[in-house]
Amino acid sequence: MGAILLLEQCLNGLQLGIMLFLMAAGLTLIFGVMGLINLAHGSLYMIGAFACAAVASWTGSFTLGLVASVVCAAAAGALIEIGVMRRLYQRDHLDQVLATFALILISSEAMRWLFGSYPLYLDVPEVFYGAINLFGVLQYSRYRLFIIVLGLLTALGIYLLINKTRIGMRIRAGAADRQMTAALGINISLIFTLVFALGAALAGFAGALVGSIQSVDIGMGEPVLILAFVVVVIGGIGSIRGALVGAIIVGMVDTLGRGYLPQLLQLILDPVFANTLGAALASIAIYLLMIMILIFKPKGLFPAYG
Amino acid sequence: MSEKYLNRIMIALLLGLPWLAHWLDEPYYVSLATRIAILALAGVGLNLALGLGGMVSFGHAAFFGIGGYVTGILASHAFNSEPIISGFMGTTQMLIIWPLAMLIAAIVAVFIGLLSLRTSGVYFIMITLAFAQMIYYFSISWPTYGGEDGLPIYVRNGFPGINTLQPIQFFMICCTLLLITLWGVSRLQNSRFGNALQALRQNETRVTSIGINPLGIKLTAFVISATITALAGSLFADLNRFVSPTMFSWHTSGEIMIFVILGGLGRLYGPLAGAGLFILCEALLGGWTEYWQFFLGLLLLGVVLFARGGLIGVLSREQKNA
Amino acid sequence: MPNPVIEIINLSKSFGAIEATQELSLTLNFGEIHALIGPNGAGKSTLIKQITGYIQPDQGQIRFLGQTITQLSPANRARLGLAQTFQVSSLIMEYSCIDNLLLVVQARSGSSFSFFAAVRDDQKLLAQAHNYLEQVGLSDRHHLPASALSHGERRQLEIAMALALEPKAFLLDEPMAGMDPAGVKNLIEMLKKMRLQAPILLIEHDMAAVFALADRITVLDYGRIIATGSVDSIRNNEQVQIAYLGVSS
Repeated sequence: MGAILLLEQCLNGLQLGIMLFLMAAGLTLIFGVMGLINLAHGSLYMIGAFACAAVASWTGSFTLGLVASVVCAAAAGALIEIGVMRRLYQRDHLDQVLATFALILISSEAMRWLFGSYPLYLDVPEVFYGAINLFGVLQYSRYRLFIIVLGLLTALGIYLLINKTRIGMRIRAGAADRQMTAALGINISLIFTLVFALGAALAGFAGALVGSIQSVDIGMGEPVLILAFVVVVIGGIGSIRGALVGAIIVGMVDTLGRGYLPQLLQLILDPVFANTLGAALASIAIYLLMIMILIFKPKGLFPAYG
Repeated sequence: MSEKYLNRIMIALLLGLPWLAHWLDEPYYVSLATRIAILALAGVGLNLALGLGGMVSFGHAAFFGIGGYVTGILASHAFNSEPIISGFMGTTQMLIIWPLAMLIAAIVAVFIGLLSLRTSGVYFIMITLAFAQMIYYFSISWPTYGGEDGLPIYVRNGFPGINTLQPIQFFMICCTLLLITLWGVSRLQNSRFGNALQALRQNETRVTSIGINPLGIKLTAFVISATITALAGSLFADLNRFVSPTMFSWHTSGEIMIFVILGGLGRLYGPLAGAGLFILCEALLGGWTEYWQFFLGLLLLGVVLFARGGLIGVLSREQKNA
Repeated sequence: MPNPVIEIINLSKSFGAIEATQELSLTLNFGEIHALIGPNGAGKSTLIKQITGYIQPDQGQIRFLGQTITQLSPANRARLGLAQTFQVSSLIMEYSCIDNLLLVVQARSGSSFSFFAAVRDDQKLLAQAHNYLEQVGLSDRHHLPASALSHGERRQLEIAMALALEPKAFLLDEPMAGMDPAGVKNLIEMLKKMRLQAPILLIEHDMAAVFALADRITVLDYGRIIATGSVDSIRNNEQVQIAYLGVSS
């Protein structure tokens, strides 16, 4: 019984991790290639979720909703990149933090004006209702499994894109040496817009997928944003592999921590106190993890650029 | 208009308008001015680390919240006559609460600083954010002092000889503390320490190469900055007669940064101008549209992209003293 | 013969497969100008960074006035009297020339943990700062921010800041880089005077200046010393000619 629960929790952790990866991959690419700290990434996640909810309820098709989420988020990303981000590449981190914080305020209020303050309805498509039997022992939500598989496929896609295609090569070149790449005649600003839009698309996609199991509301992007940053820092800035490893670690630590810390502590402490302390520790576990990792590996686990 | 002249105008407005409001029996505006003074104080703290020292701390809300919670906890224990530690029943005296809040913030700042200042750049930003987040989530999950619901302070804490419940009198306490702090920071800015700190912001290698240890200077600046922001947090708790985990949230950290930037990064009175501008937006725009933060965002974006010197920079058109 | 001011003993440093410094030993003695030359990539900058403390060697020791400083932080080494100038001028750009110097004088004359007295009111410190500016001929530029100085003037300011430390040894990293002939001439005279104050470890590419100034020359290539000795012996050394010019005379 305990083993089955553990398996379920691990799968949940994996699912959280994969979603975080979609966010973190965009963030780490944007930071690695353009040197830009983008706090507005959570807003792109939110925009994707809202687009999916709106289109899905309008057309009745979840698939169209997903497509809409990717397209809208990518478009929003491209617009933001051309309008604002371009001016920030040469600026220091403080300016980037403040400008993107401003974008959070702007986009949140804009969305609130468009859609109101109440959450939007977005439900899992019927085909994914219910559970599927895994390994003969566990009944696991079909939809969550779908998310895991889709996320892993996306991760593979990103890996192939970055490492095996010509455009991926240009992206990596741009990250390693921006000026040189531009001097070679490669349109570096187009690359930057593409990278930003790609990151935005991934975030929007994640938002749409998660929005179906949680809720689609204005503030949904912010907790995810912070987690995604933690993942990027743990994994190493600029590294997709680091983002994947970091995301799965964070997903697992967070999920398993919340699931098991209170119980573990109950073995040694008074049950009520253990419950409280366990819940509190679980909520800060990933931050503790990040700080530990930074102390021993100041540039994260797989720093891409030394 | 020179910066000095602008500063005097701001002080005149800060002192004059609330008294005018008091005379016209409009306590709401006195409270508004009190909020400006307190938030300005929080910004003055951050400005020391950020504007003078170049340390982009995205976790200063931690100190703001510590100031608030120390105040709330001490007051609540005194109110309920429950001892915190054997014999000590808490207190409702501001003169005891402030030093305690600042001391605890200083201790936490030493700890956070020692761990964070080994890093720089985006890692420093993330690690300071992480510490603040840890305290935030912890305060939500720990039920003893209200958890997510927060902790009320039923009666505003006391100051000898002053009726702190009277808005104008509490305002004068906050305003006086702000002015004293501004005076202190201005001395600090021109001192040997301030000289080294501001040089460190511009070129750490050079400062190291002449024999000044950067970590010592930065850590000291970080700790002093934390204590000032904590004092503001304590006053904030007394103003609202309420503390909640939102004081620790990263939004609060961002807002304190906004005050500093809107007014002018590194300018002595910048946080005052910035806090004033922010509260004005909230009060005026907020009365007009519930989406006022949209315009605040636009303003902030505009300042960052086009008016880097903030309000004071734009009005004074003067290079700030290094 | 008194002990050397700087003693580098068997220093080694590798970055992955690159051996930037290989079992390098060298000394800087009292009263001398010891020039360090070598082609680009020879490891001169890495060596300087190990002496000043920004890079930790894998092996070996560094001694300064008899004291082992290999574990000391860069700031502490500067306090002991090690002054350096940088290959690319490293100044406090927003500060004026006099403020740049005031900072050095402040650093040398006691603790920077003083929080109330205005440092620019300290007439003694100001006078000292002006004095050093005068020594490099920048007195009339004293109020200008460092960012407004010409390249040559910035190199001069660097020298002034090194002087202001009243050091026991100078480490000068290509001080003449990018200077015009008049500036180079002035600097050569300046260095001759500085040698009387404290010995100089000089990295330079300007061979005329090196031959005019150096008491000893050490030639580096691929992290190793390939020759060391007097000006004449180096000038005629075949290995040096090959390493530098790629030909044999």
